[in-house]
Amino acid sequence: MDAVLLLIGVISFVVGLRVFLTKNRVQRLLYLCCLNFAISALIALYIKSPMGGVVAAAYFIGSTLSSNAIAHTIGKVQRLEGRGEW
Amino acid sequence: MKVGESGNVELLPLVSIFCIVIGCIGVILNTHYLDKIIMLEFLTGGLIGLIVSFYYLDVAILTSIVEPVSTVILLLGSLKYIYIKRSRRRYSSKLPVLGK
Amino acid sequence: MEVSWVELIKLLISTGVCWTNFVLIDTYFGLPRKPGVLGAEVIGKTLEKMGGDLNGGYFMGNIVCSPDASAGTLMAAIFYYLLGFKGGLIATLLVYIGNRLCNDPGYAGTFGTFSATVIIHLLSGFIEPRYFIGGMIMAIFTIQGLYHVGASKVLGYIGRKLGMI
Repeated sequence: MDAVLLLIGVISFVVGLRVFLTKNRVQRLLYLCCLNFAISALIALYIKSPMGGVVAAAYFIGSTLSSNAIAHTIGKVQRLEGRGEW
Repeated sequence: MKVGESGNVELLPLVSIFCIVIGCIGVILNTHYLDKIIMLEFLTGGLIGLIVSFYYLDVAILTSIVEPVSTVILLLGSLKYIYIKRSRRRYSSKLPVLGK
Repeated sequence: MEVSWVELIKLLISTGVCWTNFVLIDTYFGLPRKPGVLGAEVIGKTLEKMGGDLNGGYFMGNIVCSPDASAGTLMAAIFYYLLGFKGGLIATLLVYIGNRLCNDPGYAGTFGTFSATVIIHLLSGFIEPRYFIGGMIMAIFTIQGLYHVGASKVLGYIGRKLGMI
């Protein structure tokens, strides 16, 4: 375990705790985006072959797609229920 | 948990187990449905990491392709729920919600 | 386990290179100017209500909602680490497909991946490609994970300074 792995591990633990502790829904989406970056990098560093790169790309594109869908639904719900809550 | 040759603990299974445990607690404790879906997304990231850390790469690719489809279906169901609630409130409070 | 000073200096240099690369390319292709999809607009409005900057909020929402130059830089670093220079070209193709899949009619991701591949190939003499992966994670942590209001103010200031809003 060298400096790169140690840095990515510390960042993913910190961001995971902040996803759990934050109350605002939009800020949770931003922290989740950072966590997806970290897990994708950890997958590529754990499996040192070209197949690991394919797994990392597929995971990253899929998680981005579902984050897009969640943000779009938050906008639709805000537009339907008025501006009261986030 | 795999222990490497030099005595160090591998980092990917540790992070994945942390994500799964925190995600389970979060799904139980939050009450709004969008919060539940966000925490389910968080849990799924840890699940794919745990599958990858045992070298099942084809299962991991298939899971990460299929997982947005299930999230989109859940979100469409929640939007349909809001539409039905609004239309019931506008027209009549005794309208049955069986059909579409 | 011991961390030497050379590794820390390499990490700091790669963090600066990745941060400069993706912020400049995303700003040049017009991410802070308008929200591409509905989710980016929601994130920008919420950050403005919390006291941040509207255009910086649009920038952060566009990063969350579709694979732009930030995702392109990470993919270029991973594929250069695994496959060499031709891996970067494969990553360019993958990011192009992901852009079209997320309903985003822009070329920021494709161009960002290609420029990141060229920069890593030029710097690969004295910084190994695995340091660029850690540097990219550090750069995205300073924007999306540390303090959102301040990050949106910084991004809006850079966009106004370059005259792209």
